[in-house]
Amino acid sequence: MPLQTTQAYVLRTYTLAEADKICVFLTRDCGKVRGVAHGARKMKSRFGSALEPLTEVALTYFFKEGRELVSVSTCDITRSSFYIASRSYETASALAYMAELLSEFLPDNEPNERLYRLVMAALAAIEATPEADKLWQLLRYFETWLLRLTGYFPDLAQCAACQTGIEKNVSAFLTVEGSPRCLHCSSGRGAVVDTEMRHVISEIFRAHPHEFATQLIPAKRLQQIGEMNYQIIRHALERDLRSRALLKQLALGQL
Amino acid sequence: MLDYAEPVTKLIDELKRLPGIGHKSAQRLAFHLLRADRAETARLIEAITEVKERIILCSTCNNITDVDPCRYCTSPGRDQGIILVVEEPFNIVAFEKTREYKGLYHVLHGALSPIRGIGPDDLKIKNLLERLRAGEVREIILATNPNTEGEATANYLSKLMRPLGPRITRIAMGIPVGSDLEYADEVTMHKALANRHEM
Ligand SMILES: [Zn+2]
Ligand SMILES: [Zn+2]
Repeated sequence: MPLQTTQAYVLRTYTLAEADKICVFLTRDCGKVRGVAHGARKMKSRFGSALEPLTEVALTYFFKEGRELVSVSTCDITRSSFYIASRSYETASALAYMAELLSEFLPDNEPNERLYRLVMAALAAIEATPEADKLWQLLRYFETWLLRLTGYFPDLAQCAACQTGIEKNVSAFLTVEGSPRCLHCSSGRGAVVDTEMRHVISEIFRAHPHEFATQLIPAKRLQQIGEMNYQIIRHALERDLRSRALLKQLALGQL
Repeated sequence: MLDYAEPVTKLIDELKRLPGIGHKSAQRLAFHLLRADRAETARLIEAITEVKERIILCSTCNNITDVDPCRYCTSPGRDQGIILVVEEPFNIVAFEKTREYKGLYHVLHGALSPIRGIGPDDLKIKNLLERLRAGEVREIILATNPNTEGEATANYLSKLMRPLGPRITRIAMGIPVGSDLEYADEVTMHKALANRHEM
């Protein structure tokens, strides 16, 4: 069986039988990969804490052409997210949402270098930004970029129906499918992306996450962008993310 | 599958539902039961029936029990001022084995896991708060699992319980006894250093 070596993030694990775990990885070289880690549930497992969510690992695995699950050979920690996740329940939930989004949204076996670097940058920014309210701001950054790098984020500068440009100083409108329309083509129907939202979105695409985290953006605005993003995510997945409802309650201070 | 008589197939199918039992194991167990004498299978059936009929959750601590409140909650020898919080009933056994711990328990029946959709409402947290409000508890020991979900649960609970006044502690994480420092990973090592103690 051929052996593959790559950097990877652990996205999530499922228990399998008595001692094993099924793991979903975001690998740098091969995209999303599913594998079995034999013996990972044992107390003295050779995997230790390497399979905790969003740990970056040096991964080697055996694979067989045409078989869905690879067999994890070694998995050594490069950088753990355990300290960030143990900062608070809010942070742990935010990281769980990121992991679930990556795990559900990405296709198998399609490498995406920019997306991999997005995960690195977003985690580094979250680590460097302990303020609780900035957590939601960075999540919106991550989400928006994830949609763009997977080709789901609409080009708000152009109406997809009449192909005319939508100026920065006017609102764009999104259809249920997340396709952008000008005022004329939408007749004002659909989800409004107003000029203030468009400004924040352009900042997301311009700035590094560390810099974006320092900007003062009203909670209301971030919430609107979160809603818009989630519409697109939900439409693409055709179902809800499990971590989403809890996260929303948390952000609203209801838990 | 068509090779077996229908009752055998049915038994294999039921056994396959058990955690960690695949088709081969189910088949092996089914043939073991088929060969076993009647008294042996009757004991097994009785044991399963009894568990389902007599085992309930303790209304105080949520431990599995055949009397309510359970024996830990009513034992006069135990310190009523300390509650050790665990995820599952079988975690209690691990602490009882130490013969060190003499306080009470509280079983959450799970850990917070946003990715699996398990939130605070899915855990037995409400009656833990009620126990605290009764006022006799001096210390809460959070003994959820030493992983991301257990840590998130401990963080959530400590924030929730802090205003109610008890001392809140978390069990130590670190190097397992009998292992070798050489094989400890960086997170475990970090925790072991952070949780070091005076000698
Ligand atoms: Zn148009
Ligand atoms: Zn009890």
